[in-house]
Amino acid sequence: MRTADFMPVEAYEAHLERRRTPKRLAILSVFAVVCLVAGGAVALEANHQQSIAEGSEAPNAIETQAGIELRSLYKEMNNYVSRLDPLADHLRMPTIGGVLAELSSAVGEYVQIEKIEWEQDIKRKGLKKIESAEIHLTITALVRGDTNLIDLPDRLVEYTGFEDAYIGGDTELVLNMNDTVRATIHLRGPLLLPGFDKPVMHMIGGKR
Amino acid sequence: MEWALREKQNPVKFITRNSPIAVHFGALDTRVLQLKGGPGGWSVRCAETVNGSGTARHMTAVEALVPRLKEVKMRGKDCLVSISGENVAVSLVPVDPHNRGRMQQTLKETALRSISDPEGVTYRYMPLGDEAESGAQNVREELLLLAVGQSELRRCTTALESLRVRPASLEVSAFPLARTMQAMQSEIETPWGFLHLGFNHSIFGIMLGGELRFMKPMQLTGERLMNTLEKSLSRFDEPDPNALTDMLNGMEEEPEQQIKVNAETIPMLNKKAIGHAAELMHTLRMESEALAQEVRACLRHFANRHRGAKLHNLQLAGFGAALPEVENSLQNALNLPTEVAKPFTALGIKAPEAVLAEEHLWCIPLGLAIRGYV
Repeated sequence: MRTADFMPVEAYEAHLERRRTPKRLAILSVFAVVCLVAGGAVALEANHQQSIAEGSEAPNAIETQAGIELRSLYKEMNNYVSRLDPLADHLRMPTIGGVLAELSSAVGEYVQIEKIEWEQDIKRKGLKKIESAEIHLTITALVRGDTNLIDLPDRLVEYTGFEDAYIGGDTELVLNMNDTVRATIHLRGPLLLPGFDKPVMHMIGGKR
Repeated sequence: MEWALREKQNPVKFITRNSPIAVHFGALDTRVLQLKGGPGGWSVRCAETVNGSGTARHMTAVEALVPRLKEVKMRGKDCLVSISGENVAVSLVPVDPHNRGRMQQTLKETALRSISDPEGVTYRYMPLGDEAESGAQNVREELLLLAVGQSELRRCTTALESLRVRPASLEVSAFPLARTMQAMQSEIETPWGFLHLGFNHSIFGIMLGGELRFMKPMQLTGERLMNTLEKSLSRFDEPDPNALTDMLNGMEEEPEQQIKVNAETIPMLNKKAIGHAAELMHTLRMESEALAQEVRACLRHFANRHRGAKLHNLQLAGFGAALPEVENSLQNALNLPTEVAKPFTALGIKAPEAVLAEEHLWCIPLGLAIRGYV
């Protein structure tokens, strides 16, 4: 039915267009698609987060395998523990390899080393308790000149870092070698044993 | 000023389950209607009436409705609006073939003469003949010219903005009324008429082939009918044996009473009228006869242009339609099948009791709501 409308024609046509099925369906479809996409994105993100959470909780195959191997290694090592413990203790003990390497040059000119002995001297109190421990180094050498002999202990103390050194009483002249003696130098140094915080040397005359 | 001729709209396929919101700013009240469902089975979603008259009736409606917007249950924003015919100047403008060149000027001058508004005048026009007839060169064309003041349009749009709705259309009440009547009588192929007896104005229209072919404001109004009935009924209340004689001799001697009109007015009048049908028929005889003369003049005019066509029936609507004995009185005077329109019943629209009790007053909002479906 024709009518006379005091509003602009476009207003009613726009109203009809808003209500027209295809446009409304299109709007609804777009809205539904947007909702689906948004929902899918949320679902994907949720799954991702869930997998991360599960992954962090789930046992790691590599870690598990390594753990198994480590446990089996420990098990095997337990069979040799009685033999391995003294070895480990020995390996933990200090050595003087580094000292010996340059000792021949450290003694200086006109000194010829004949023999080197070293030992660990441990004083115990009872069966188990260790009271003090020292490392002893005994060097037998041919030394030319009295001054050279007298200075030798100091040079050795300076080189080795030991506590003190002295010339032994068995010094003897060497046949057919002018102004040369065979002397024995005794060095005494601190020994830090495993399980101790600091080395403790023997008491000598009320002093360490 | 601007003008436009609206073409017949194609039927609209809807997916929405709600009709647009219909708002009718009537002379005595503002009515809001929205239907839900669809052409296959409408029902009323919301129907609200707010009393208010005069130029402030728009804002009165807003003030009453805005606090209750959530309760009103309106859906959507698009709203179709109609304004009372009393705010619109309706004119029939004949345009002779040799004057068609001056048609625009004639229409503009007529519109400006017909209504006075300091803010300006807006007018629309439409041909009343069929399209073939309008296009003929040697036929005197008849145009329906409608003019409304800009201030009335501004009040309407301001009120609608306050109601937070989007006006999509603003028609004169006669068009949605005719649309409702057409939906009720779509099977009738011969001309039929409608008479809107509003409180302050009345309008008579003739429909043919689903289109409005004639429309003219009438002298008889609902207010005048109500005053006549009030006077006669008040006489019946008084224990005066000479009352009927006095009434028949002339009611003009009595001073005019200021009558307050509200929703109870018509039921109260109907209640008072029980047992006085013959007297009321006699009281209304003069009014009905005057109206009948007007209608007959319109029919003669219509018959001249449509080869002697006669009206099939007359549908009544508006405030005066339900006044006691008005329907019978008009039927007798016009000698036409006349009935008060009951569109909700006729169209099978489920409605609350309050709406069904005054269907003739909801014709206009209903015509707005079903626009695009019929």
